[in-house]
Amino acid sequence: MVSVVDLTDQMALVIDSLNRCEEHLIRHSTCRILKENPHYRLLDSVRSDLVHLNTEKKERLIYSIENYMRDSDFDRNEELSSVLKKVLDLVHQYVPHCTLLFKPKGSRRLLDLKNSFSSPACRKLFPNE
Amino acid sequence: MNIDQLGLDLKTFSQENKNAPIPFTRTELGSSGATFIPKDTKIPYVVKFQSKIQSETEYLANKFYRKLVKILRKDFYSHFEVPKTKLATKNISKFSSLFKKLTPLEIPSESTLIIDYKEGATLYNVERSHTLFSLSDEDLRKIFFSIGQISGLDFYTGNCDRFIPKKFRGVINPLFRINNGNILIELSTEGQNTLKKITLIDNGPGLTDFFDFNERKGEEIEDDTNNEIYSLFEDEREPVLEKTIPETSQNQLMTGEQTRMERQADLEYFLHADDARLYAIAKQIYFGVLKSIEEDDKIATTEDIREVFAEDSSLIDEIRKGLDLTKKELRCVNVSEILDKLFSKAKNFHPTPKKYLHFLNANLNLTR
Repeated sequence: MVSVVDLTDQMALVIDSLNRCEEHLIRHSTCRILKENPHYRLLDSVRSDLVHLNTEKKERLIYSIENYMRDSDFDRNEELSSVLKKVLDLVHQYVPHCTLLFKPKGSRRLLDLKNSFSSPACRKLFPNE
Repeated sequence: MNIDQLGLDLKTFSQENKNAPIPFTRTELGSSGATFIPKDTKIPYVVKFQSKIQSETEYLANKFYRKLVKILRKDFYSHFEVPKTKLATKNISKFSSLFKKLTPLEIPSESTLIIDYKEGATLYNVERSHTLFSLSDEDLRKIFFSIGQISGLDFYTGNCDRFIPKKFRGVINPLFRINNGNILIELSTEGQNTLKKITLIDNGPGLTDFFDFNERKGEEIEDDTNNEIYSLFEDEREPVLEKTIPETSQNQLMTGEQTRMERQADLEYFLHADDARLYAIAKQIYFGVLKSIEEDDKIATTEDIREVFAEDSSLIDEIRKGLDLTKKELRCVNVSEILDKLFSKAKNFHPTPKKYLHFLNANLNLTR
């Protein structure tokens, strides 16, 4: 069982991993234009869908990642695959009404991902965790 | 954007995956027609099935907003985006049966719009997910300033299907709420909730705010728009506010012409507004936003909302400043070239969407 705090920490780590993976792709991409690199395109869409997560985006994430994993023709990037597996695990636990970068009630300081999810209001988002 | 590629993609997909559903999902929101967003991140299109009149009107509106945003001052409007839109060819429309399999509900297959997929979440989803409360003061101010800017554009196009109230003349209506489904807010992916871009979607005006029953159903064949609106604006004219809009009794439905005159009177009210009047419009819009937050944010309590969005919040002034800026910008830009191109694109369109273009054209005189 994953606690609210653990889940949020994992999400923060996933975004972090995607950002690191992006740096790696930028360094090693053979495409002249980065957006033509299919791994980069997927990474970029996945990251954006995570930031704006809702029920529809959850479906998109699951569909696209599972397709990527299944596609035997695709020259898979191991680092990206491993991060995408983590994304998939987390997205399956998503409860509607919640976004990744959610900040509980109170003052609207910029969100600190590491320590913002222990309030009772937040627990409503993950009732069974 | 090559829309033929979408037809090709759909054809290939249905051949390779005989019984699998196509990778789209019907959106929860949107009352007109049926909108499908791609589940596969490789597909960069949204597909929208509507009546021919709805599609053609929305197509023209999207084009108009897209071009207009590009000629406004970049310093203030470059964070806005309007997705490219195409009217689908028959080639793509024939795939409507594939979309019908995705939903038990009827979908109109008269006409299909293909719209560029844009990143971001609708303001509805931003509110629903409580994300507004995680934004910095600076970004919150930017969002409300943008709401003012967009509202100014919507006054010009008579679009009451987003933020602006109909027939507002200074009296706050506490029941008014905005439609928070027609903008996308894109946040940065760099680890903090910071505003990156705002995309204007569903830019067609609500058809009932614009056309009468016969026009909406396409039963009026004769295109008489040249006579109806131009006659309202003589060179030496009084503001529409002081003109008499033909009265209708309570039991009598308004004609399309009367409805469009109301939208134009709304525009004149906005264009002639001094700071106090603009503030009143801003306040009405602000209360409309609050109402949507109260109804859609399932996490915030009333106290949370009042703490961040006070009744006398400085965010109202951000909306006013946005309205004021667009009001001034509209006086400086010349949209006649945009309209000329749209008229030529609409040559074979139904007469009803053309009335929308004539409406925009007549508004040119009001902003000068």
